[in-house]
Amino acid sequence: MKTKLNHQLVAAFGLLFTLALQPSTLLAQGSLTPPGAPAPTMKTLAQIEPRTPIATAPFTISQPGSYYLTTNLTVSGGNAITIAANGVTLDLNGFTISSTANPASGTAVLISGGLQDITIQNGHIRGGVTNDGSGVFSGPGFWYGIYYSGSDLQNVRVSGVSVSGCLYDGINVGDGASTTVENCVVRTVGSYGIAANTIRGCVALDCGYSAIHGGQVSDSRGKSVGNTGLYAYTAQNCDGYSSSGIGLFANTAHNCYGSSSSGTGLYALYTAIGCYGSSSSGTGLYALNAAFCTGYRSGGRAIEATIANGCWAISGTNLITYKYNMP
Amino acid sequence: MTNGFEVPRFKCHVAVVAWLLGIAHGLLAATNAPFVGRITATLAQGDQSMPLLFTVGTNAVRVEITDTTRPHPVNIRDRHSEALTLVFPHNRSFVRLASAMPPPAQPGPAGMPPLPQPVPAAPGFPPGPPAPPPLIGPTNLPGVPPVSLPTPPELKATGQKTNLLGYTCQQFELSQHGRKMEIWATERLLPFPGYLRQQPPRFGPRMIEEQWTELLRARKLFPMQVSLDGRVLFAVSAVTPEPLKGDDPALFQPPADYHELQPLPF
Repeated sequence: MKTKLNHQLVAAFGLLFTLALQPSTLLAQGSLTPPGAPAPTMKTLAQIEPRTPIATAPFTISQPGSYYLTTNLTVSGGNAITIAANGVTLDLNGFTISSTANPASGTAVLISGGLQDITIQNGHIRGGVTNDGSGVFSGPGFWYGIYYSGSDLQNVRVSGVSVSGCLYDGINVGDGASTTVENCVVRTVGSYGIAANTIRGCVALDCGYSAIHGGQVSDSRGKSVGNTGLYAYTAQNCDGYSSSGIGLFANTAHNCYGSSSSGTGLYALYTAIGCYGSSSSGTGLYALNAAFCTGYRSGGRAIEATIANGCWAISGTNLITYKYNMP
Repeated sequence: MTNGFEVPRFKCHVAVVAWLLGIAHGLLAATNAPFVGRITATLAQGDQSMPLLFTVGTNAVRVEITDTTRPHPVNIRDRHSEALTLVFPHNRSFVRLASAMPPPAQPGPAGMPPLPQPVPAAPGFPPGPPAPPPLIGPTNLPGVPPVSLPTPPELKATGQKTNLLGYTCQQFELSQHGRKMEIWATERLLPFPGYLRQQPPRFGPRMIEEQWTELLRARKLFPMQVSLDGRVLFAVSAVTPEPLKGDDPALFQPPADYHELQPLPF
């Protein structure tokens, strides 16, 4: 009898405890009428991709913002994309801009003069201009790959773009206060390969004029068929070659290599450190102040310098006014 | 009878005066009239020799390499303003430069210290290269002499004269870094336009081979023969005065279908 009573008490307490854990079920229910239409849960296209697509050319960017290609673009003449506003990022998105204009004309990406805060990245520009082997450039395509018109640009960066087959310049963003070209490649253009204030990690080959032309140039290579291979205020870890002009021309050159068929191989107006200059018929290496450099010129002048320290001629003779630590 | 005597006498006076005027005109023409015609020469570049042709018009000079193995730039220089147009046949373009003189050192690109300013020039001379610091090197170390950087080379007349191809020439010397250049030049042709393959670099040339043309032009001299360290660097082989048809656009303007490029500011 006592045991049965205990069991009833335990069951009653258990029931009360269970009810205590679910108080909401004990509250009165509200209206079953929905307060309004359900709110959308998906994101808008502008939230997912807050950039403006470009699927046709010619196209003019007249508002600040971020733009991207959604396909390859081809024009039959004139400019493909014109940037006419500050604060623009253009992502080529791995696609190619090309031109079939014959003779060549227009620019793949033209930046209006005086603009600032422009980024162009990640894609290809292609024309059909070729070098006939004697240094004559002709054929269909663009005049310029990336170019600007008018006054200097500021805060411009071109990155990861390849350009080929243009009649004039490959990438030329000028000597504005801050123009940078990095990790770009250019091949077979009739004039400048790459011209900018700062150039790093770039290659420009088969150019009719200066292949690389910049203020500060590092880790880059330029090869010209008709002019200076690489021209810079300061060149570091660079390589310049020219078949008819100066291989590498710099105010100061550090750890650089310059060679030429008929001009001076490496020409440092002030200082060359750890450089190599070679020429087939001109002076191998010229510097006001050369340190730990090497020159090569068979049967001619290997190194010409006012001051030289620890330099060596593989072949040829040296003309040095003040010589230190040298034979 | 009287008239018969007077007339021949008058004719004789007229003839003498005309003869004297003719001589005077000839002398004036020889000394003051600008040279117009063609000059052929050779210019050594390294071990190679380039044939140069100067076509001199009344207002402009065209300088070109006549070797046709590759397309060489053509220079067209205005004789009055000295403005230079570089014409590039290799991609059918051209660049107009205000002056072919190496521009004075400009402030470097943003973030760069300015380059040294050019040495003040004497009247009639172009500005020299940037002034070097006076002394560098370990000046306080015993046994090591202080090093004085070289000064810009100066064109010095030796006083010697000769006649080359019918033109009286003076001898000049130019020396730098132990290299010696001997120049025979005349005042009777035109200020030497030189020949450029490209826009002059912003920081001007320093090797002696790249300075003599500017120095001669500043003195309004034309070289007939130039030798460097005993090797002939430049030599005129023929001077042909001939009237050219005004300033023929075909010679002294870029072709109409060529595209004008903007010179880089640096």
